[in-house]
Amino acid sequence: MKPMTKIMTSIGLGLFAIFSLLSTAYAAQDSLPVKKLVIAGPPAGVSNGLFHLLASDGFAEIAEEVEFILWSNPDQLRALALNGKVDFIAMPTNVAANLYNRGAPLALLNVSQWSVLWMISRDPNMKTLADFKGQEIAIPFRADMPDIVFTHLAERQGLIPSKDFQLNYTATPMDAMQLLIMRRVDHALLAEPALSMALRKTKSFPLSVIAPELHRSVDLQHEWARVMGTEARIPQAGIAVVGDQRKNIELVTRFETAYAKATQWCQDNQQQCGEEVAAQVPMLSAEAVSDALAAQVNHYATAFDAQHELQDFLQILLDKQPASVGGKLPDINFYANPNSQAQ
Amino acid sequence: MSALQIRNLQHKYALTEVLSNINLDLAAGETLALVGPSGCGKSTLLHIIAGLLIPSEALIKNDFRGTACMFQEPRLLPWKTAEDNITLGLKALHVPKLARRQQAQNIAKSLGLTADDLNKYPHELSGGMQSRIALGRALIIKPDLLLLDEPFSALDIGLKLELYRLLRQHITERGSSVLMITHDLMEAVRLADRIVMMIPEPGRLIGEFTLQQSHAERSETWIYQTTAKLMANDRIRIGFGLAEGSLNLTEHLHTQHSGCSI
Amino acid sequence: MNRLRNLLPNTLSYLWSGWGALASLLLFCAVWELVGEYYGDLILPGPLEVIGQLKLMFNSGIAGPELIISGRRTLYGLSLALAVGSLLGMLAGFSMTTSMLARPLITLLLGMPPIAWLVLAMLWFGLGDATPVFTVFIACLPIVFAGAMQGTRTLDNHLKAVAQVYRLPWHMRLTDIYLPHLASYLFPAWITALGTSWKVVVMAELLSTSDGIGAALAVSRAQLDTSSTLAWVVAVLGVLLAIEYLLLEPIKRHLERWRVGVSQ
Repeated sequence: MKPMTKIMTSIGLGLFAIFSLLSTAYAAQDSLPVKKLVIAGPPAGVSNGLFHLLASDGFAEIAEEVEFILWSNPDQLRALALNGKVDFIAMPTNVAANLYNRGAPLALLNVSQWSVLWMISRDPNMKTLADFKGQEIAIPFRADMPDIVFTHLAERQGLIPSKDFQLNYTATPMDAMQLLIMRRVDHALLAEPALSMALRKTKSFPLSVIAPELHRSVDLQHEWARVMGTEARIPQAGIAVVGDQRKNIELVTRFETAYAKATQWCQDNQQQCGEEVAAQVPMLSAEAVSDALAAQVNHYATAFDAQHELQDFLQILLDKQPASVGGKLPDINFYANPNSQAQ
Repeated sequence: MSALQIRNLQHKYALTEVLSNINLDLAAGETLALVGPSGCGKSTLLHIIAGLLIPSEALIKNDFRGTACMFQEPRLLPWKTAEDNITLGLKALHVPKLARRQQAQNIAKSLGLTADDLNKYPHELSGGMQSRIALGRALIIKPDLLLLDEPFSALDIGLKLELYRLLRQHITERGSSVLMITHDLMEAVRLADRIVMMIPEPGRLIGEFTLQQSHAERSETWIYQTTAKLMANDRIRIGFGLAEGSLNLTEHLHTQHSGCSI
Repeated sequence: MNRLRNLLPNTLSYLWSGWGALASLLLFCAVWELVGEYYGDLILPGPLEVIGQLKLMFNSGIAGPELIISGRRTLYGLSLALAVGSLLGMLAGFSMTTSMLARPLITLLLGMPPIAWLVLAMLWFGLGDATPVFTVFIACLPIVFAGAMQGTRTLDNHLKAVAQVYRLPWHMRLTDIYLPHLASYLFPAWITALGTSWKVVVMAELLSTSDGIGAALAVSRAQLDTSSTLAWVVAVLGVLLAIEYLLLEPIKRHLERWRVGVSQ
């Protein structure tokens, strides 16, 4: 070898050695499970924990960089679940089962929302669903979970929804709220936080002048307990882990711990949580979020632990509207098992 | 007794005087030709006589019972067959369908149209055929007054002569009056009994020429000679802008009336 | 006799045009199938699966009633728009002043997105039949109105003069002069209105009713059932195509035969 080439080779090898050393040293420092974390959630209670983590830098132990995407309709949700770029998505449990059964690569991690369905009414004296007999009720999202739960509970009480109620299906909760405010309907079925938003809106000026007095009425979860003989809670929404990161045990475990803690914190610090959420989601008000938190039952479970309740719930949905859960009950791999190696 | 009498006709379009002091008579059975350069108001006058325009001022007596019109373009209804176009006037007179069809077939023969042609739509027929249909439409209602607004100007000489023959035939048979506009002096000489000349700005009459020769005796030679004579006439030359000079208004055979009821 | 003689060539020509349309549609389906395979079933199921789903929906009795409900609403809204629009358009065409007044209003109406009307309709009429019917009416009205007005205004003055000279009575003027001319303007406007009416009805139902195709579409969309969603879309398109080729095309050919000519 010529002398020039010898020197170049030595320098090259030397540089390579230095870089290797540096990078391994760097790597040794980097014990985070993933570089960038992408999470998504709707403007609803299930995302509260996520917002708290974002506000308090709670993902520091999990990823260097975190991106949050807000989804607001099922088409967006489906796109996020399938585009391979999102790691965790907060969503309703039946939608998770539906996506899973239709081939989306996800698993349900936990259920954090157990009491989101309420009636709202002009009449403060309504105690059970039977009290609404003969009344007109506005219900958003026809043939979806709220509708199915309502119908099921009514039927179990011996009522016939199509005959005993005048069900007025609206496209969105906003439309139901409009009907309430304009006094075209006296009762509605709403989910949190839409319900708390409605109550807050109508109590504040200028709507308070023209709007009727609206009250939080029957708690459907209590009706559930009364009629089904179980706890006053329904496994309605939680976090699903999506895509390849299902196999990343480290990530999944850390995320689960962080989210569970954050959700509990929100329950314990309702006002601050409300403020944090409102700061990140302009369409929600801080008071509505904290009101919603105050009204909810304080329960949390991993999907694995709540398997039984989930299956009972999904079965009811399957019986009434099979397409809403994807035509069948999801198999065991739907419930993320924190102990299992083979995901 | 003239069947058409016009006195003191004045017509303004916006602020422009288009026709000024027109006095005209048309007797039954008479063919009158209206000649003049472009823009002298001949068409306007014809439209007024046809009832399509209301003049600003005029005294008009019109005793003719049926009027038909032929325009510069064939003006056929594009969505009706040739037969339906020809019988349009008959349908307006509530003639029943079978009779209409019969009359159409009769006149089609003299127009040189076949039974096939009768079933075609205007856009399938040549310009010459369309003109023939327009003529048929006018003649089939057997009008007392036929108004012609340069209908033959766009046709070739052979077709022109054929249609002239048809026209003369009809006039002789029915005794209809004809008021025809033309810028072709030879056509006027061929067909008319009287020629009246107009000049523009404002439109007014400046000359009247009566053709003494009877139609049966009008040979081609006579027609050429008379046309040449007219072309040499001073008034006509000045009127058409072929010579310099000014014209005073024509003296009419009928003195001007004012306020006399006709 | 003439009609009979021309029946065969006319029918063949009509069938041939249908054949051309069919070929074009099949090509579209092929492209659809290709794209569907690339993206997978959850995002875009292929045409065979969708048609299979549609057959299922018909057999189980779901599809039929919804089609009838949507069809009924389209019919009401469209008929109203055709009647009112044609009449008002003709009246506007006769009067210069009305035409000038109407032009900017039509531009306004045409420019307003139907969804804005829908929001108002929901407030005024609630959630019954009236909302989609009204929305269809208001969306189709300016189209028909503009066509009728243009048709009436542009009537050849030459032909009007002929009508006057030959002393056509008013009813003859209507049937022999005005209406045939008007038809060549009205008919395209009516066809456009028909296409628009179906689109608007489905959109209105999607957001404001609990029955009809639009409402079923909303449900299948919420349930992430792409093949049902597409099946409903195919159903609507199928109805549109059927009306266009089985109903409107023959009528158009009959009305426009004076353009094409007997010999063709």
